[in-house]
Amino acid sequence: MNLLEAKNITKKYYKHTALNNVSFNIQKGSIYGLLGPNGAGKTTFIRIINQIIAQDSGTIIFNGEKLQSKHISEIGYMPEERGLYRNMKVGEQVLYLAQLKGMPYNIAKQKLKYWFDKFEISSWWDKKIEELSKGMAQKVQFIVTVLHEPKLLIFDEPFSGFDPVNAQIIKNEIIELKNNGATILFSTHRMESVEEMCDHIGMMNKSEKILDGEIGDVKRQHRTNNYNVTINKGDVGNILFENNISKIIETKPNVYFKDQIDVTIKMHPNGTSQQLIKELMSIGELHHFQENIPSINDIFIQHAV
Amino acid sequence: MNTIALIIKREYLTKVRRRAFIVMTFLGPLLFVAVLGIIAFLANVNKEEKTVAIYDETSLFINTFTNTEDIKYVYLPTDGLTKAIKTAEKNNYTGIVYVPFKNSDKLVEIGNSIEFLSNSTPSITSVSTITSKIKERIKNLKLIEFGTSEDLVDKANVPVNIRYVNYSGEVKNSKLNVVQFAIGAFLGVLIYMFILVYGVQVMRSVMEEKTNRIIEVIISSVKPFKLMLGKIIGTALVGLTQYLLWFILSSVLLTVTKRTMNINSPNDELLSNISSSQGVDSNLHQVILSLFELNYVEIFSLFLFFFLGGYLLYSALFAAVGAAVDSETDTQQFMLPITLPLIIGIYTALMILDNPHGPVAFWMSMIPFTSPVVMMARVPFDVPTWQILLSMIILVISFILTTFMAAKIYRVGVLMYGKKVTYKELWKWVSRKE
Repeated sequence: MNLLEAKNITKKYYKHTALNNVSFNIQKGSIYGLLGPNGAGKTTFIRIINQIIAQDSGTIIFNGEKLQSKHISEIGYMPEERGLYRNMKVGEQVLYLAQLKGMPYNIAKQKLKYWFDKFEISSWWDKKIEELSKGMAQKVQFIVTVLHEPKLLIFDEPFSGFDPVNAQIIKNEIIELKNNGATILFSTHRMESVEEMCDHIGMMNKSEKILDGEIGDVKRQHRTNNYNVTINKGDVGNILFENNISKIIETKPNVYFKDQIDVTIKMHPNGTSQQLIKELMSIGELHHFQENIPSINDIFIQHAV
Repeated sequence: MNTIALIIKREYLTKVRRRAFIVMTFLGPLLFVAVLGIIAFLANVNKEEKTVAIYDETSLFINTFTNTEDIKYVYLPTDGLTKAIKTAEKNNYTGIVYVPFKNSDKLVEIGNSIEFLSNSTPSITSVSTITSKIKERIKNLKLIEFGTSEDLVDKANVPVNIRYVNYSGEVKNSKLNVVQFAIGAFLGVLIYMFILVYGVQVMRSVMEEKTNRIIEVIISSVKPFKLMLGKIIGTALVGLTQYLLWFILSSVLLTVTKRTMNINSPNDELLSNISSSQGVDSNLHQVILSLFELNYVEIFSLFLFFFLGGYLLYSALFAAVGAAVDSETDTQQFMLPITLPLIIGIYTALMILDNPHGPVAFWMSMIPFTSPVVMMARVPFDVPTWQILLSMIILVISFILTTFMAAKIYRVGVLMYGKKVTYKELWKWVSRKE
């Protein structure tokens, strides 16, 4: 079931079209990666979901209903531009922002204690944001985003500004939130940073959606049928792969050692890897076998150009 | 809790807790009392009784100079001018009116030969008082010379006391004009200061959220219009708190100072000063009487209305400016068109005494950008009801319009970074329909 369905969204700023007839479906309980370069229209799309701006045309269905202001409390948003009141105390500030999202004061306070204990930052309660380091402030920002336990969590450029240690902590938290039933939307131009976490991806370029789907499907659709192979040829001389292997298109030798060959093999689309392995093993001892799966980056470039 | 209430609460609490607010709240009344004290002190110094000596060789002016509130007269024996000058110097007299003896008894010559001897330049008022007394005496002498009996001349000097009466026959206090002006101008200045100080605070607060980049988090929870409104109301409450505290602290401080220093109330001092500087006979009693002649319920309720109306009109504009720019330095180009009408307004309000119901006063109290200040200055002068109502209606309509426009600029502006905004751009934001 879809938590969010965006249908034919178009948004224009004067002469510039920021979104051109864009549709996305985000499944409940999944992590969705919205990918694309800067200026592709991701932030505009996210702002429309957050009801910060309104689309010119198209509809958004949230949890089976037309998106409306009561859904504000069910969405958590961490914008790309992080920011908090610099001269306000941490505890007070998070409570204020949680109340703005419609959370009652007492419940917000309880939840906040839970998160502060979890991150071991209870001592920050009475500190002002300006006294915290950038990384510390980011943690507070994360709590602000998730405190009201929204059904949909939106992170714009989620890991920018986090050091590797903190980025890992946040990644783990996000996965835990997902396991607890939350749906997560990432938006980033650094595609490799979220690839491993996403269930689904959608790609945008120049105000349009160019591709979307379950990440495995997308990758399968973009198989190149290239395999990296290292084989021990023993004392057989040079092997002609083309003579020994069926459905081969071409080979590209990479390195020759004394008795080893490192080679990239391109197969026919109807050839299977099992078949290939079998035939390779009949030639010599197989040391290394890997399908060359294109990275999300490669797939994007393939589509955008 | 309602989100607007939350925003107002936050705005209020963060501002009230600021050091600047606390310092100003306590420093304000101290400064106020200090200024009043200085004025009272200066007025007392200035009021020092002047003594003018008369050296009259003709003996024609023996009964002419009688002591007044401001000037005391001393007749010196006519046994040599040098001696008289020495006496005057010794006693620190302001000067000597020297009437030289003339062989001819022609009054014209006497009139032309009188001298005022002094080392300092005498004040205009004292010279004109002395001149008019001499003139009157010579006129009387001339009339007697023409054959009018002394008795008749005395009778011809009728005291004149003009009463101020309006067309329906009510007698007005002669001090009323001045008191009306003082109260009107004071209230006008209060409104002016409030709009300027707290309008700028609204602008800063909007800019703070924009430069802190927290704005996007907030407007994903609250509609921008609500946020803007919450800020405007919260800041207004801060201002009202400050004014209220100032009022209370000043009253307490004034009472304490009066008790301990045992001086006249600087307020009375101030009012009588204003009156005397207007050239009207200083009379504290009249001032106090005229204070009772004003309709305070009307003045106070209109003050509250124009105070809030003016603030709402301007603060929405200030909020729009704050949203449109990235930094304080960029605000300059937009600030001038906002502050200019305010300055014109306060100038008009202070010039209004001459003609409180003239065309300038009328139009300035209709134009919404000057009306809060100017109308308030006019109200104590009994403005026709239709004018007040019209001005109020125009103000309400305009602040609804400006708030609407400002909200549009605000909504677009807060998400716009790194772009120098022009008037043309602002107009695009306003005219865009959504």
